[in-house]
Amino acid sequence: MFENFKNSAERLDKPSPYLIRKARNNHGELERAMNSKTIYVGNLSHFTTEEQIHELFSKCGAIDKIIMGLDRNKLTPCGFCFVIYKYEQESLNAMKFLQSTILDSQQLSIDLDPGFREGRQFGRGKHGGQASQEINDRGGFRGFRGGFRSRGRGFRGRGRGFRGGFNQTQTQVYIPSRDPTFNG
Amino acid sequence: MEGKRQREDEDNNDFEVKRHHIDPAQELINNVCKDIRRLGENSVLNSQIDDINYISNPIVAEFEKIDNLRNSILSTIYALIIEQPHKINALSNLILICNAKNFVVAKYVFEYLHSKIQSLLDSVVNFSEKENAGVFNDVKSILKFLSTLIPITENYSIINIYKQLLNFAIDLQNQYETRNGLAQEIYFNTLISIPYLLSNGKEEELVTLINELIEIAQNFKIVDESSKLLQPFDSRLGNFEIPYTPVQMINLILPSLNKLQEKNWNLTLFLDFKPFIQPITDDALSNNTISQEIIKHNLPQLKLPSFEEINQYKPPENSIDSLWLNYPRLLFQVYNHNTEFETVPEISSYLGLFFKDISFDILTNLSFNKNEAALQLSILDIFFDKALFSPPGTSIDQLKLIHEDNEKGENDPNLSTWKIEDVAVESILTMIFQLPKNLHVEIYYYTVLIQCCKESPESIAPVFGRAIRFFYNNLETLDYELKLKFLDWMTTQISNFEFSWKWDEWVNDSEKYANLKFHPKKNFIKNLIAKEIRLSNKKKIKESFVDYVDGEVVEFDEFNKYLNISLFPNEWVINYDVDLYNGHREKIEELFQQKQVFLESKSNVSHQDEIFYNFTNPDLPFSELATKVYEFIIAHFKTNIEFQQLCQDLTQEVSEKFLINLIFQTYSYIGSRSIYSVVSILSRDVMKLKYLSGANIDYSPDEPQFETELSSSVEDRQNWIIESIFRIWNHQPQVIFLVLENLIEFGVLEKKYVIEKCLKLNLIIDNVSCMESINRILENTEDRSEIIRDVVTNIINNMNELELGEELIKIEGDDEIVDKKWLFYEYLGLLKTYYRKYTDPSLKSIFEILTNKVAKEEILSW
Repeated sequence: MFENFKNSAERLDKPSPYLIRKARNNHGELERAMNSKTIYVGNLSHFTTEEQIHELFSKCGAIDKIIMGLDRNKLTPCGFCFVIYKYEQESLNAMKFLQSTILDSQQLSIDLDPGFREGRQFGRGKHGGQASQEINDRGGFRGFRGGFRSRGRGFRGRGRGFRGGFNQTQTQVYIPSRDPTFNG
Repeated sequence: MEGKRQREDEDNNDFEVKRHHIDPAQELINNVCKDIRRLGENSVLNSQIDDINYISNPIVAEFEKIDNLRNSILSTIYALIIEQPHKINALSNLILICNAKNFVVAKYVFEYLHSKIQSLLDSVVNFSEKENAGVFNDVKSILKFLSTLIPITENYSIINIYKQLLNFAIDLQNQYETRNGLAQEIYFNTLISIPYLLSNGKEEELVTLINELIEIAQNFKIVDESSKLLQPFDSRLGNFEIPYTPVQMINLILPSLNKLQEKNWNLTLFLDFKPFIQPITDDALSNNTISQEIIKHNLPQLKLPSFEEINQYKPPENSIDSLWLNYPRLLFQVYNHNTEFETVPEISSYLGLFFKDISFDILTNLSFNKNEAALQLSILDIFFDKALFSPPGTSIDQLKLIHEDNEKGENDPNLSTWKIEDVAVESILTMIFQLPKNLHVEIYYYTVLIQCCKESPESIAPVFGRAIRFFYNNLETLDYELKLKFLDWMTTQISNFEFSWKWDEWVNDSEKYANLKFHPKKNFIKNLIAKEIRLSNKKKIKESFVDYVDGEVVEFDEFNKYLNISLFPNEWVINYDVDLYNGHREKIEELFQQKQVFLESKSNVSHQDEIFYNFTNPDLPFSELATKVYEFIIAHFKTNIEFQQLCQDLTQEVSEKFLINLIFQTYSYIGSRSIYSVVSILSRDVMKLKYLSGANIDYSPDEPQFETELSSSVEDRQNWIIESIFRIWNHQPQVIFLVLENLIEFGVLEKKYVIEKCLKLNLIIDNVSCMESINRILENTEDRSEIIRDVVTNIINNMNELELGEELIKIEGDDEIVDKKWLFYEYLGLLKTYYRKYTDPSLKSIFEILTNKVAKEEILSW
């Protein structure tokens, strides 16, 4: 993970374990992904429009094109897209800065992508949609493509649950106006 | 089935990883380095030191034997110093303990870091690293770290390095009459590091040496440079009071140290680890077979660059060095204005400067991991003295009580009212609202803030609430560019939290300014909602105009009017079409009415539903021609000659203005599914569109060329195209400007016509999509001096046409006149922004044509 120990924390602009696994027999693909202008965006709501995606992702730089992922049977959006930037640096920025931001109440997952080829806009799931989402629907493995870190020995911070995500019993999104202390 | 396979796949992979043989040495390296990266994150001091002691054992044992381990550790130490400088003291404890067990470790660290500083200094002539806060900022962090190692440094030799750097800064500035940014930076950085010298002991001799450094520092000549253009607030020629007068960092540092000096350097800041470390080092020394005394290391002086070399230094664009080099550095303040007590350390105090400095370093250097940056900033307090901050999450109400008790003398000693959340958020906001430019793209800072909020929503959200209120309350004086940033930040922020906001706070303003278009608060509310819709949809945003009062839902209908984000009102669309068809008002109004009925019948209206396209309607004239055009465009690809023939056929019957509207609106209608549908169909036919717009066409050799020209002037044709795009996408201004930008990029439109149009209609002040678009267009222009002159001339003409006279314009009068005056001041703010961004002295001659004397005088003083 820190092969060269040049940074004091994990870099978010590195390819996901998914991509590394996929590229195991095709090393060129990983290199292409690292120098690509294209990113994969997953876990979109099926109703999110290209304009909304443009609005959020253009904050990282000028976008050349957005290709919506389509259900291969119904030809309707099925929860993922490819964003193609004008410059490579901008796709790395999106990796670093937009990972897990929320669009249309959905927490996005973003990965580098070796580049779009015709045909990839169609979902590869059994029912025509995005494979990982179809699995989600059945309550299986959560299709989060980013890696996660083990906690290791010792604890960090104040131990108030800083690390390791949110408390499952809470509502997923914090809504300030419902918090009585918000005015404080 | 597939799901199962994938799960198995995952399991297999886990298995493979486990089965995969990892070299035990590599595993040790990974573990040790991971532990180093997390040093100091444990708030219980004795167990923290126990941990450090434990980590030190494998380091001490293997450091000399395994080259890879040594190199990895040194590299990790360096990364930690630069990227997470708040861990410097914890890291220093590790080195002190290692030194007692095996001095070689510390020897390597000294030599490694000394060579790092030296190679940084040597690199000024050809510095090429991009993701870096700059040579001198890095030197500062290393200097801080080395200062903490005083107990194992020979003869306080680090003091010589301080002297060298201070004298260098003094001499460098003395070379110039004007401000030398790097001299200021080196001076500031050296001084801010001084207290680190005392973090591990306060011997009398050391204090004397430090007092000598302060003596030297008095000789630095601070050359003032006007920071008028960089100030976040503007009084609008005295119409308003600004919330505070910003101060330059360079003026604060020495006085802040003088104050510490007066108190004999008694500073509550660094944690006192000595009681925990001493027994460990004593024990280690007594068992040490080589030496039972602490072995100390020498720090040789540095070889500093020559003045000539330093002039060649080009810091990376997004570095802290570049901020110092190019502009006087101001500090931005958000808190402490609206509370009777301090929630952040006073900006002019050493602690105020210290926490800003360290937060900027973390933010700038950890930009590759926003989550880590957010985490480290939220737990910054645990790395420093416990008495400095109130417990995390303390509310303002609780702080008020603490403050009252402090006043009454009931707390002995007084308890702190500082909030670590306020310090972190204010630092991040400073980086967002940094003028004239940000170091990183704004979205990085936004998502750090969002991440902070995810880490501990209950304690951070109210901190944001106070910041938002501060900006909103001061919108009248907030800089034009910063208003755009505020809009952008707030939209992004609340879009991550279901667009929740205390709308009731803004109801009164929205009512009060109902008849004004350009009042900054009204404009802000309107454009905020427009931007929210762009990230979401109208239905959802409408649903967000609620609040929960005593468990009951209260809806704020006041804001529903802003859901109509159309660029122009409905009447404009009708009049436009009536004008185009030269009549037929009744039919057009009927069609418009039908459209409204249709839209109301739908629960969730898509942008495509809203498009109002009638050319092919058989009840309107020329519908057969329109059908022909429609079929021509939707067909796969037609030649230029065929297109020319189509245009010739059409102009037999309709005007060229109608032709252009028909063709461009039909392209838009066909591509109306999404932006990239329309852009891709336009890009397919760039030559044909250029034929219409009168732009130059570069034919490829085998391409048939157009033989005729349209008869109208290029200016007319360009304006018709722009208007046709306004008309067809009126309901979705963002798409208007994206399409126009693409037409500019394709070479179909000239940017000057687009900009002139937007200025003529005051859209650049009124509509956020337009503001952002024009800014992008200017930003993407390579040789922009001509276009900027054009923009500035147009703005000043607009200001003159308001006919507000030559005297001071006071914002008072009836709604109509007040709105005009606001428009005047908003344009003045826009001029300031462009002058700051695209500094060009020749602009001053254009400023002379402004008729209002008071404003002209102000502009000429920039």
